[in-house]
Order: sequence, then structure tokens, then C-alpha cells
Amino acid sequence: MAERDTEPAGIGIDLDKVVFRGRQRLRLWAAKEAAAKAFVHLFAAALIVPCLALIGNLAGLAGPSLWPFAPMATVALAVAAPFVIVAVYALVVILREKTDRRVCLALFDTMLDLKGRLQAADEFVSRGPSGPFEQAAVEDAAPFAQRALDTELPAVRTPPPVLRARRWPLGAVSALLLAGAVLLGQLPPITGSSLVALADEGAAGLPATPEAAAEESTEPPLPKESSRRSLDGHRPTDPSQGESEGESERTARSQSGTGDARSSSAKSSKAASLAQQAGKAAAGASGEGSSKKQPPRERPAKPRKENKSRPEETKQEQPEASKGVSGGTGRSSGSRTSASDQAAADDKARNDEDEGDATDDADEEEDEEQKAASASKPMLNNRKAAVDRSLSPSGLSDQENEQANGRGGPSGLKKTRGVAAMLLGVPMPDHLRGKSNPGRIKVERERAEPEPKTSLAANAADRGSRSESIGYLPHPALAPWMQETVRDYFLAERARDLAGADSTSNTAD
Amino acid sequence: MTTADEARERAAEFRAVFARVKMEVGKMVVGQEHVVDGVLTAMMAGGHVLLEGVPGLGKTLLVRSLSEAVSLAFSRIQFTPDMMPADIQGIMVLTETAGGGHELTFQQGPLIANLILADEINRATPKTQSALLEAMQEKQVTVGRRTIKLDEPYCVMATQNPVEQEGTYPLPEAQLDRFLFKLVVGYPAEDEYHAILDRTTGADDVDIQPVTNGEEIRSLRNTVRSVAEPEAARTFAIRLVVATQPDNALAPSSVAECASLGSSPRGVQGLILAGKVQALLDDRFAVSADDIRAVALPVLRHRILLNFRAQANNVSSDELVEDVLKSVKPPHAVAA
Repeated sequence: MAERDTEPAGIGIDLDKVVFRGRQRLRLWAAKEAAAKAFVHLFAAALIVPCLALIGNLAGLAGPSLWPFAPMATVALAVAAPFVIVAVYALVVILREKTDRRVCLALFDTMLDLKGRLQAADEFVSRGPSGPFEQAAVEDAAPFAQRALDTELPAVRTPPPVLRARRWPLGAVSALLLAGAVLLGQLPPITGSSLVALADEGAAGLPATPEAAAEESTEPPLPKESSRRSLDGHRPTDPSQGESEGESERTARSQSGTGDARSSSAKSSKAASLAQQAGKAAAGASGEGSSKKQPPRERPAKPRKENKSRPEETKQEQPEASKGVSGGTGRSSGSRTSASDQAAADDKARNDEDEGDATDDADEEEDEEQKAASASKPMLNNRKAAVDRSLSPSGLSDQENEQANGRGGPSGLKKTRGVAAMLLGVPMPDHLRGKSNPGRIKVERERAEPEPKTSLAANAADRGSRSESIGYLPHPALAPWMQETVRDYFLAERARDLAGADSTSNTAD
Repeated sequence: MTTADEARERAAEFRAVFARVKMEVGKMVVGQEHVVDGVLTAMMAGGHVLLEGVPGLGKTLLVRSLSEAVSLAFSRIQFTPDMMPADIQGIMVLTETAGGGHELTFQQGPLIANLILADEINRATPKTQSALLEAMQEKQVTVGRRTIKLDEPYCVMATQNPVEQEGTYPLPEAQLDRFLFKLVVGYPAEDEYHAILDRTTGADDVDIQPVTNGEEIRSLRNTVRSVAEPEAARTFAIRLVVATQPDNALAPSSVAECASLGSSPRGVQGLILAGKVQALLDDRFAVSADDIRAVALPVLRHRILLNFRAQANNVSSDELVEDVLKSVKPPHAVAA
């Protein structure tokens, strides 16, 4: 706990140091990456000095040389320049690298597995005093900041630069250019007197008469021919050998040209069938090794059409093949029959394969349809007929789907639905199909005019008084206090009536 | 005591209670460490949990054990296809008064408790499932003209079976979004079967003692919410969530192709809250990008809606979340 006594201000300073270390680290990293990138272009950079030297020396042929360096210095410069260029590029990257403070802290958080403690502490310190957990986070980060300062990070390892093979010719070109530049640099400058001297040397080398020139001109073709042949890899020892080869070629061409067309076609078809059989035999013999070498069998959409039209083609080809066999080679009918049987067997196998493909296609389409249907109805696991609501009063369901057991979804028998579900175990069909009742319900309207009927009016006074008991009158059972209240009320009313009667009699008196 | 010391004390208390509850639940539930941690994390973060697994893996047992360990008002609802919203929320019933009259009184449903076990939630109809929406988000239940505030802590732990989908009703997106975690319960390891047999086929009963209560859990939830959130962690959580949205520029190609709907802002809230619990358990006071990453899968897997292409190619939402985690880097991250 002594580590946690560090004040937040001290943590801020430690974090600054950590940021400084991180920034150095990231700059070094960026420089190494930049150098690795630039190293790829090393050979391209190696072209610069030879090109400049060559241009300068070429210009120097006509006048004063523009390339001031000596040959040895030129070579040294050409070798050193690419490396200098790479180093300068890396230096520029270092100088231009502006790393965010949070990135520097994140580097240590990541490499020391600090779970973002340093970043969080830096944010809370810069934000100022806040809640208890922020302060605790800042104090908690102090030992980790110290650890980040004490820990030596592993060396920055960038992948080694790779000089690709296609860039190697640039190196050869630069070497050639450098050699050319050095050689040109050693040549004397071309002036008027040197041109005259060159012209004199040329005139001395020319033949004296046209005949001599013609004799000289007849000799050169032979070395040319020999050099051409040597480039082709054939070195003829005897000139007659070349002629004999030419003759054999011409003979072969004439034979092929004058041969029987039918036999050639027969040969080709026979050769094809034999090659096919040989191929099958070889495939069977080689087993897995050969099958692995073959590319995976694909079934694109187009070849299906070709498969459909294949039987017609084989029908057309079959007679030609038999003709070719009989006419070209003159074999017996037995061999002809065997060949035709073989072709028929091949066709049958092919047709079977096509049928198999067709059934596979149908299965695939069915699967796709099933997938599509399952997307629209994801909860249907099997493909049974949908249940309907036709219920029977017996409680037995004769539907195809045995899943129609009343547990969710539409089903034949609703064991639990609505209020009836409270009656446990009692199947309650909620709808019966058929007649609602055995009788026939019909509403008939009759057109009848109302007829007035006469009746005598009853006189109320003729009824007389009641002579019998009116029967039982229900007497509501009142509470005692209510009975008392009612009794008091009626006694008071009677008393009032009696008092009123007395007063009227007195006034009358 | 300084404020920092106070924070340390609260964090230590949180870890202690968490460990105690976990140990009590561990008396009954064998293995399934990540599921137990996830359930406790969600409860401490104030969220709800959806447990998914095949039958017999102890989902219901886990929640029941948790209810005994935390000493909360517990109720279990076995969802069935014929269940009505009134069956879980409560209903007005006609009761006889003492004077012989009648009056309508509210009979509260099992939804009104602290810890709810919604067993096989996908067997109920969407109508009944929707009755949970208000309770899970607003922590209240409205029946008729009566609104009942639910007591905190309030936590719904639902289970569902990924197989036997016949006759079930998948949870609607609005319902799924309200769950903080979706935890997938897997089969136990071979050595864990011995312990399972010892505890379930022996004569001894396992007794789970309550080690905390609702008041303490409320206090711990406040502690979780007090954990500091640096800008880097917050930005990382936001980027993760927007990367699950197929039209967003941050979304990886797999999400753009296979997702039809991404996470809502509830996903960010869930990431941050669950990440804070992770930070406290790791003895830290600020949530980090690593904490967010650790809880991203259970928080986001049920918030991504797959399209037909994903279903046809058997692409799961877990794979999409993994792709998102690979493609989205924390801010200021440096490749070590």
C-alpha cells in the first residue's frame, strides 16, 4: 500500500516520462518501418548515380564533361547513394512523426497488459478532481506508471526487408549503366581532328575493287546460318543432313495430305476411344494418386445442356466410328461388334451418369425450396401437411399430422382454449362442422290484415271487495333498530293525524 | 478516510459479496463458471438475463439457487402457450366484502417480485411475452388503470430451449433487446459429472444460505454505476455497437452481408455497465477496452438480427460479433 500513497501530481510527472519513452519508441518504430519500405526501392535508387554519370559523360563526349567525379569516386558514390537515400528517408519520417500522448500510453498499456490503467489515469489527471473512483483509478495507476518506466520494452522487430526477384534486374541495369558511365568517362572527347582520323581509318579498311567486295560479301551467310542453328540447339555436322531432314518432312506432309480421309478420321476416333479406355484403365490402376491429381469435378449450369445433347452426338458419331474402323484398318466384324458394344456401354454409363446428375439436381432444388420455405416458416421442422381446424366431437383427430396435439398453433383438438381450459383433461371442441340442429329453421311471414274485435268495457265498481286472502307477503327481516324507527315514524304520523282531527272538531264547535 | 479510500472500500465490498454469492450458488450448480459469472454480473449491473440451453443443463436450478442465496422475493413462471398476460401481471377479481357486498380487488401476478424466473419463455405467445416489456424496462406493471411500481432490485431471468422449436414463439426483438445478457449454457466437462452425481444422487441435501439481501444489492448496483468510464472505453463500446449495424461504415463485410438489424443504444449501455462490473472484479476503478471486449459477446449476440443469407449459410450471430471484435480496434491502439 506504500505505492498507493503517491500523490496524483507525482503520477502526472511519471506519466509524462512514460509518454516521453513511448514517443521515442514509436519514432524508432516508425523509422524502422520507413527504412524497410525504402529498402525495397534500393535498386531503383541505385540507378540514380549511374544515370547521372552516364548523362554527364555522354555530354562530355561533345564537349567538357559534366560529371566531375573520377571513375573510382563514381563507383563509390553509386554504391553508397542508395543507402544514403534510405537513411535520409527514415530520418525525415522520424522528424515528421507526431505521436499522440494517448497513443504513447496505450503502447505501455498494451505491452505490459495494464488494461488501460495509464490512459485512464492520464485522462482523469488532465480532467481535474472528480469522483472517488476517478481518484482511486489515478492512485491505482501510480505503481504501474513506475513499472512502465522501469521495464525495458522488447526490441522493436520489423520484418526483414525483402528484395524481390523482379527488382534484381534493376541492380544489373545499374551496374551496366555504371560500367558504361565509367568507360565513357575514360574516352577522350570527340573533336574535329578525331573525326577526320576515324574517317581515314574507315577508308583504309574498305576493299579496293567492286569484285573484291563481292567476294567478301559471299562469305558471311554461312556463319549466320550456323549461329542460328546453334541458337536452336541443333548443330548440323553435315550440310546434306539438313537436306535429308527437309526431304523427310516433305514426305511426311505429302503422306498426310494424300492419305485416306476416312481412314484418318477413323484413326482419330479410334485413337480417341483407345486413349479414353487407356485413360480409364490408368485411372483405375493408379488409384488415389491419379484421382488426387485430377481437378475437382465441377457441375456448372452450362454443361447440363451439353449433357442433354450428348446422346444425339454419340448417335451421329457411332456409325462414323464403325465405318472408320472397318475401312481404315480392315478388321473383322467381331472386332467391330466389340468396338460398338464398348461404345454402347460407354453411352449407357454416360446416360446413367446424366440421370444421376438429374436426380442430384432435383434433390438440390428440393433442398433449396425447403430452405426457402423454412425461411418463411422458420418454426416448421417437418414438412407435413398443415393442420386445419376441422374438429370432430369425438376428440379424435384423423389428420395426417400427428403433431396436431393441441400444443400451440392450429390443431385439430383444442384441449386448452379460453375458459374451457379450466376443465382439466376435458377436450372441448370449439367448433362443430355440420348441422347446427336436427330441425329446420324457417321464418315465414304471413300477409294478414288486423281485424278489430269488440269487447265490453269492464266497470271497476263491479269487481267488489276481495273476499279471499291475498296470500303470503314476504316480510323483509329488518334490523331491530330499523323496525323501531319505522314503528316510531308511523306512530308519529298517527298522532299528528289525531291532533289535526281534534283541532278541526274544536273549530267546528 | 479519503474519497479514494472510500472507493476502494466499496469495491472490496462488491468483490466480497460477489464471491460469497458465487460460492453459495456453486454449492448447487457444478461448473458453468461463465454462466454463473454472467448471471451475477447482470444482476449487479441491473439487467436481465436470457439463458439458452438444451434441457437438463441446470438453467432453472441456477436461478433457483441464486434466489435462495440472495434472499429476494422470488417467483417462477412456467410459460405455456395458453398463458395470458393477466396470468402473470395480475387481474381484477370480484371479491365478497364483509357486509355481503362485492367489490373488485387486484390480485397481483407472479411478475410482481424481485427475482423472476421466466421458464421456457418462448413457449408463451408474443402477447404474453409482451406483458414483460413494461416490467423489464420501466420496472412497473400497469393493469387496467392501476400502475404498480416494482421493488428494486428487479431482475428477470428467462430460460429458453434452442431445440424443440415446434409450437414455440421466438422472442420479438423488442423483448430480446431488454435482456442485458444472453448466456449460452453448454454441456459440463467430463470431470464435472462426478460432482453432479455426488450432489444429486446422494442422500445429503445441499443447503443454500442467504448471503445477501435486496438492500445490499441495491447498494452494490450504485457502486457499479460509480466506476469511472474513460473516453477510450466509451468510444470503443460505441464503435462496437455501430459496427453491428449493417449500413454503418465500421461494420465488417460479414455484418454488412449477413445482418439485417444491429444493436440498439441499449447495447452500449449494456456494454458499459457489464464492463464496469468486470473492472470491479479485476480490482480496477475504471472500465477499460478489455472489459468491454470481455462482455461483448453475451451483450451483443442477441441484438443482431440475421438475414436470410446468414440463415442459408449457417452464419451465427456469435460469428458476426467475433468479426466485429476483430475489425474494431480500441482508440489509440498500438499493434505491439
